[in-house]
Amino acid sequence: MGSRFNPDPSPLGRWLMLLAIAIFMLGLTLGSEGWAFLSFVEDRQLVIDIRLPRTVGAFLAGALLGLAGALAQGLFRNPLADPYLLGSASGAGLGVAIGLIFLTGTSLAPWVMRVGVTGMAFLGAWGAVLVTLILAWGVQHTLRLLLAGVVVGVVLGACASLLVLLYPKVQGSAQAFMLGSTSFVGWHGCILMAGTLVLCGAVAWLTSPVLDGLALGESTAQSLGLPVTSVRLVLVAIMALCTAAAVAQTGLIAFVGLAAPHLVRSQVKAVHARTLFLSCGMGAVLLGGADLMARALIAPLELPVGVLTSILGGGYMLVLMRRLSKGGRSL
Amino acid sequence: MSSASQQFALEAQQLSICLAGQEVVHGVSLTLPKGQWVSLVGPNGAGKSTLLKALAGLIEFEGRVVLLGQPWSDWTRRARAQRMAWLGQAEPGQDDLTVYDVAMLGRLPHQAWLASPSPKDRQVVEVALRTVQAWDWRSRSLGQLSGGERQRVLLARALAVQADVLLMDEPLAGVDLPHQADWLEWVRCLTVQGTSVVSVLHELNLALQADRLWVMSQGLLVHDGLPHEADTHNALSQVFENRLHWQQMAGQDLKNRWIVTLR
Repeated sequence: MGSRFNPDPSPLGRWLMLLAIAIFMLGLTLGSEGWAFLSFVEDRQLVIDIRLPRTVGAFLAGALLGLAGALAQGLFRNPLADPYLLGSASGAGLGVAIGLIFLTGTSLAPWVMRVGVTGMAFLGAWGAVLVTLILAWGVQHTLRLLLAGVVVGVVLGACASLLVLLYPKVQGSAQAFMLGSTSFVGWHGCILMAGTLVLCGAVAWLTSPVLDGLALGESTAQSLGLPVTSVRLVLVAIMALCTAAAVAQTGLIAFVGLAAPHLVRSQVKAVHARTLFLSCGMGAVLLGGADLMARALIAPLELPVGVLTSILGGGYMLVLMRRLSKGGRSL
Repeated sequence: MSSASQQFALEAQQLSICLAGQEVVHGVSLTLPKGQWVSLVGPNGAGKSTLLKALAGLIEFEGRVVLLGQPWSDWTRRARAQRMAWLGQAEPGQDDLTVYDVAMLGRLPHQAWLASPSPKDRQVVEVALRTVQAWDWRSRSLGQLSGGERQRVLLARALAVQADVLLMDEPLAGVDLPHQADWLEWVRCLTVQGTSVVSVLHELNLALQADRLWVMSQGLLVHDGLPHEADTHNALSQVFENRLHWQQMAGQDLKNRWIVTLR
């Protein structure tokens, strides 16, 4: 897919593709015992049932978070907007906790569970964004928006912790979830995330001219005849759906949604139809790579990938803040 | 469509605007003749930007607005965007769009949804960027530009719409003198081709170059007249607290005869 406007010679898309292939191959061969290049035949079941869905799941969750982050930053015209800072991830987390409490121990099929938990995560994510927007009185005031998002995130996170404390039966699954982990992603989760990604990607692509227009301010976008108000509602829903689908499968994985669009924009100056998809790819590569590191760093033990992205992403955010303030621009 | 309204690009009758529950523009009526450039002047807080936004359909208003002979409500969003362009004051611009992409956004009302730009779109954008002398750095991003350069790119964006009515709020903010002269030249060019232009200008000597002047104060249109008329000068002096000093220049044609300084 080429840029609609300016021919863009950046090879970023190709690089991301190569990186993704490399991570994919490594992800299949890397087990808890170390590298196992030659045992593919014996371990076929292991690879197909565990390593493959896990690697694919990390890619998909990363792509969803990258897309959600790119949408948030475009919608709110704020380079620091991300699914976490707007409270939607915490909302999704609370939704998952409630979903687990109601669905654990019932005799539902695993995929019904998955859909149920994802649905709850979606409701939670959307509710949280709505509360954030109401508290911030709209999207115009950057600082207010981010503060409201932080408040909503902390309060909903505390609610989720409290629920987990009150219902010990979900403690195990809930803890893995709070830390963020790709180790429990199965094929059902992958299919769900892939479906969500296709749907959200399509909607995002269709509405991308509105995001381009919004880059010049809301009034300018309106003066260009763009349906700003209705599209914004749709895109907030899409952003919440992306976040929810990722959070429901892999838990709270921070900073991928923030860093992916930034890394893309530092390389490519282009319209949203292009940067949205590059952000997807960047998110996939980031989380896929982080998943690989989480498995390799202290093998045979494994780090929760969410902890890793928090440390790496936090560092990146500090660098970003420094660069922005050096450039004399306010956030 | 009455024949009387045909000669006007834009008409407003009894236009009132409320912002945050407070009426800031009170029953303004005006007509913008086709192919004319009107400067909207007045002190800070007079309601100039608000009026311009209402004329562009960006905020709610009470009253009647007729664009190119057709009442406001008869226009579809897209058709209106093709015929009327608006350039705001200090609007945000995301730093990571290229100059070319920004100018091409002006073609959005003319393009099918998600369609690639046509050769005509590319040609119009090139002309617009050359007009503001930004073509040479079209692949830079907005973040790499100075304030004045950025403003010129936004001017090119508005120009690329090729609208019949062009509303510009502080179009020359931060723009250096040679490019201000360029701006004057292409605005005159546009009006000769039949485009109607409204500009909010703080630099009165620039505003006096327009075909007409609208003088606003405290939410009212207090005067609508020609730039060389004594009535207009009086109205201007009055809204600017009698701090203006009018000087007649020798050897100029009638229109450009006056310059104004502070006293």
